[in-house]
Amino acid sequence: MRSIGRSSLNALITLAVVLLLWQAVVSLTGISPYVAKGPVEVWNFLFVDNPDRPNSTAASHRELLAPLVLQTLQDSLIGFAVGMVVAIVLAVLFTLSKAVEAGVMPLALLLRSIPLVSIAPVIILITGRGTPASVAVIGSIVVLFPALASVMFGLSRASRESLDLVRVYGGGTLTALTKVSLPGALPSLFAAARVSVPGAVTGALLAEWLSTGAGIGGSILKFSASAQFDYLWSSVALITLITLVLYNVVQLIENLVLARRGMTAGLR
Amino acid sequence: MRSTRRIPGWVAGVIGAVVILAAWWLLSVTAFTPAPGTTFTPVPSPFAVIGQLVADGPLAYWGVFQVTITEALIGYAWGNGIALLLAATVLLAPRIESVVVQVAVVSYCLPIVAVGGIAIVVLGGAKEAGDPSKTAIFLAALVVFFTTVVGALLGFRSADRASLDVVHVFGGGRVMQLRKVRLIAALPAILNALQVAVPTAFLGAVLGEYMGATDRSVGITLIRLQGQLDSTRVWAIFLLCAVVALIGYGIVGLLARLVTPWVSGKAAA
Repeated sequence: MRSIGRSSLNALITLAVVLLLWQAVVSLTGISPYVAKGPVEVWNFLFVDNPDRPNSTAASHRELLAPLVLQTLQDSLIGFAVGMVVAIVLAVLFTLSKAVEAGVMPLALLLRSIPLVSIAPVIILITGRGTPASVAVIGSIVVLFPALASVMFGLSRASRESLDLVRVYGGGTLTALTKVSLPGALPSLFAAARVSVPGAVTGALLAEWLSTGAGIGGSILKFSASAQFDYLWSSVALITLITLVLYNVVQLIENLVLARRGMTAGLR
Repeated sequence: MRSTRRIPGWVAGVIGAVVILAAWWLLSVTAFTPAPGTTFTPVPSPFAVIGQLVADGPLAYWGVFQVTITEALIGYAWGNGIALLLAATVLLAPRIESVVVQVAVVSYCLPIVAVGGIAIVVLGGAKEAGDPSKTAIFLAALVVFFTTVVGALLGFRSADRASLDVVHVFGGGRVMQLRKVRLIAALPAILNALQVAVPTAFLGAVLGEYMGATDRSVGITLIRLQGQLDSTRVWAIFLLCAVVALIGYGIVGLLARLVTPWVSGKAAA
């Protein structure tokens, strides 16, 4: 119980620090208030009706943003799921065969070092514009590499004694993998899932911006071009908040599961 | 570890490069042949791309890449500098560590595409052709921030308890512990984070250029070439982006080895 109390206190302090930083950026850098919106303005925009503007109520703003946010979350989920599955499958294959690793790892590295915004047109050409496949591919490319690195790190740390034990009792590589390496990699799997949450959201926004034109990612340029800065800042705030909550939810599950299994959390 | 199936690093690299080239070439000749009567293909063959690179000469691309590399470097310096400063505050006040981590996590959760949309309005892009774009610098700094904070914190935590006690027993205070043990123990993790940050900063800068408001940069050149359906040059720039990212990664890796020779000490050969 005490740890929950302490972590919620920390969350409150963090929230205060971030809001202060945000306000400081808006008010101290001399950006025109027409463009820059602070936390108070975003709050008012989303939750307080302005009597001077009867046509533009807080409820109407929320109604416009809610389906966009939902769409983005859905797209993030696609990228997250596909990316994590591909990462785990690849990591297992790499552990089973060095030749596969030698063949595929440089490709994963290369995909990581080419600007995604610029290969997106090629991906869209292969998968079709606006299709769920394009969302899945773009999202999973963002998710894949950090997740892959983390899972492989976890698999490589399997205890030698346990591996030897499996071998002595006649177990093959596959048994060693399912009985020792995978359970041992649990902390790293969770770490991978946690880092992948913001990655999946970024991937979804990119896919929406460049391919589907739906969701928050598809609307950002419209908001920016039509000078709807309230909407712009509100969507950034909402997406950040939701990502943050999801990140912490994964962390919470991680702590619970690992504590039950008597493990400590992985790196990062 | 598994000596029976160990493949030397350079062989693995060669295999990987060959596999990539073969897959690329296969894709270009099977799935993406130009429609009859046209010459446009989204995936040109590797030979055409390398031929184009040689024909254009590296200097033709340097002017474009120079701007983006400058942006990435400035962003890299700012982002990592602020990240290291923030992480270092934990050394003075260990209690605030979880708040520092959470602030870094918030920065990591910021939707960079949307933030880029705001930055291009608030900060603007390049003033004149060839100037670095402020939005690109900002995004480059933003994307390296989280990993460096986390890496540095990890490093500061990795100080050896026994060494700290030795300093304490010999009458050294916290400052002495910091100088003689903590900073040195933290170096490998920090340098690793700085190495990972190199490609990330470059990608952040290109993303920032995609937001517009630059006249000469990798991002705007890619947009233009894609508009002209010049896919051979687009792929040439892809290749160069990978080369630049890898060279940067390699340089920081080399520096890390020079600064912390004891880390790679296990491989005597």
